[in-house]
Amino acid sequence: MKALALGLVARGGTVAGLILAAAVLTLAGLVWLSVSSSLIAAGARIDRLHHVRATLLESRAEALVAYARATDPRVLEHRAAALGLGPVVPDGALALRVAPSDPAEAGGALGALRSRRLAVRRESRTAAPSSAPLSRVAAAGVAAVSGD
Amino acid sequence: MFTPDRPDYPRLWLVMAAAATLVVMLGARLAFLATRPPGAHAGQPTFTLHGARGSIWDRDGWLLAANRYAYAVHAAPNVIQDPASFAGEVAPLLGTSAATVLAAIADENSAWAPLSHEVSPTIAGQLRRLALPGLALERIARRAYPLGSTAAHLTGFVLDDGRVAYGIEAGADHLLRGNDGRMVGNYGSNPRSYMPPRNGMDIVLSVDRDLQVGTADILERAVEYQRATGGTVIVLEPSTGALLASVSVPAYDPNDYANSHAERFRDAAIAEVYEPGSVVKPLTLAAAFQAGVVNERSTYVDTGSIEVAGITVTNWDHTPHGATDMTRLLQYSLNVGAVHVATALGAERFYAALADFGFGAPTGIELPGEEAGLVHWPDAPDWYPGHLATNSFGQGLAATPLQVATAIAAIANDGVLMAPHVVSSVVLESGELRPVAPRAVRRVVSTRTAHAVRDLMTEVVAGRVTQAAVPGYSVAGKTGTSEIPHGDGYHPEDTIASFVGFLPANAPRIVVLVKIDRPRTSRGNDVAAPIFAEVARLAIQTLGIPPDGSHGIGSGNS
Repeated sequence: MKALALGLVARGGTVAGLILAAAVLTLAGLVWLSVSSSLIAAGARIDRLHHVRATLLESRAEALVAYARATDPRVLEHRAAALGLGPVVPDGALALRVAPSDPAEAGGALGALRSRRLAVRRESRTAAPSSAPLSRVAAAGVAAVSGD
Repeated sequence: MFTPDRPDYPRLWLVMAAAATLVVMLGARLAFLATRPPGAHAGQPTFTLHGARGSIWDRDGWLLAANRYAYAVHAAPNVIQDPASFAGEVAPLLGTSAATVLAAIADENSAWAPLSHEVSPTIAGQLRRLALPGLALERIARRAYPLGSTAAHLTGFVLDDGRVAYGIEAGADHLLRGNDGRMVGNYGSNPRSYMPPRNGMDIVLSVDRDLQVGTADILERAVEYQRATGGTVIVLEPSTGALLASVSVPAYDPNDYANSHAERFRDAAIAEVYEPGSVVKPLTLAAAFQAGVVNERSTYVDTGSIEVAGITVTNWDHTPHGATDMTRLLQYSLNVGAVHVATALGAERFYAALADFGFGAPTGIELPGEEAGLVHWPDAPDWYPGHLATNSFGQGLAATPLQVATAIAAIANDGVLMAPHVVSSVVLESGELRPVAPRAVRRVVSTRTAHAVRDLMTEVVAGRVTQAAVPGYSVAGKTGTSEIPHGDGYHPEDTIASFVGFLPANAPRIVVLVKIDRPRTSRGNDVAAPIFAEVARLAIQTLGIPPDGSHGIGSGNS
């Protein structure tokens, strides 16, 4: 009876060993599979991101070049000319002189500026489209102006 | 007594040993994969990951050169099941006819047939969405130059096979080029086999795009009007040596270099030499002032011609000018006066000054293919005193336009010669902008001497070459009309007209050199000086240079 019991224990030990071995193998396999699959999944994700990045880079490159071409000064000038804009004609160019420090004198000069602006405005009604300097004179806020 | 069931133990140990062996093998394999060096991947496909080439920008951040991506389209006829359907779907996207595609894939045993050498990424995306068996797309990197021919000589170009040619593309290739990476097998098969690519660095040039484009327009119009064979305009910042604009015509389109004339690839501003002519006279005077042999108040008697070492030098107008001071010498560009001054200076000091001004040696600008110029130095066996005479007014020596502009810039920069440069800064991988510091080469003449010569050059524009005047600004400059070597002598008719000057004369912001090859009108002040004034006015607007109180023509204040 005792021998039978010991035999069973021995057999039980063998089975336990086998189960332990199988468990170790299974665990190792699972670890291996887990690491491998996560690596492959990460690789696939990297691949997708690379593709997205490449597409974005392509789009950025295309946009940059298109923007640079669209803002080429010659292109802008061509478009401006098509809109009827152009460089200031020599007669329309004005030379500006800094205001004198005396306020009274400055007031007089401002009066001269206003009358000059009015005069040039009248001219500009008949001589379009070269009135751009007028707006610059008005915006400049200078105290005196003289024709060049 | 219990007797162990012996037959069970060997089986148990066998199983245990097998399990242990497997675990050891797995561990060993893991250790092997984790520790083997990159490159030990025989039998696996290797993919090269290209590092993107850096872009080229102007000083204000406008794009001058960048990558663009395209796709080559191929077919594998041996995989295509329905050629007619394939051609019908692909042809419209390729912008061709179905018959053309059908002809390309006619050999159904072939594994490769090119359909298009380049389509845009947009078209490539549409082709990809068709998901047609037998259709393959290959990504290719190309280079785009938005300004086309306008900045061609500055940028150079990259060939389709990746080689670089001319311009900053070649000169700074080591910075622009990225390092390729590598991947062996698929992602995840071995993390250690992935070596990421490294992109090249972006480069910021000192060039101003608007000035470059405007200058190109001015030069092209002038060359056409003059029916000249070509021309060059250089705009330099004298205080730093920064190249603000450099245009040479005829030029080429770097986007279409394959269909351009190869002789146009060379940048005439740095790679072609010419006899600079009278623009050298201010340098002769500077050397003489510095040595103290003459000063701005010195006079000589101009007899209209002078004989030196058996050669007779005459004034360009073949006219004696009598008692002449240095101002008049320069205003009327008198060769006889220049010979007098150089003779008083002596060969040793004259050539030492020429060398100090940078003649006979490349300036070292970052652009490839720069010529050194040609000077007959006194220690050369073929040198004779006649060289001193002709060299004093810029004949008998050869220099590049950039060398001449750099030398005059030294006068504008209070006598200090700055190394010209076109790379303003480099964008590091971290995004940090690393500026390239301007480099002073040497002091050539004293500040006082530089100012004296500058004043004389101002009188040239104020008193005589009024075509170069710019209202509101004091302008210093000098014309040059040089003969072109031809056979053993000079060409009987053809000349090179040039003008080099700077403004505002009292505190120079720009030096502009204009050179027109074989113009219809022969003299520098009629041809090059008006172009100088036009470019200067453009630079004033573009760079925001304030007037210095001069009222232009006739003021001559300095």
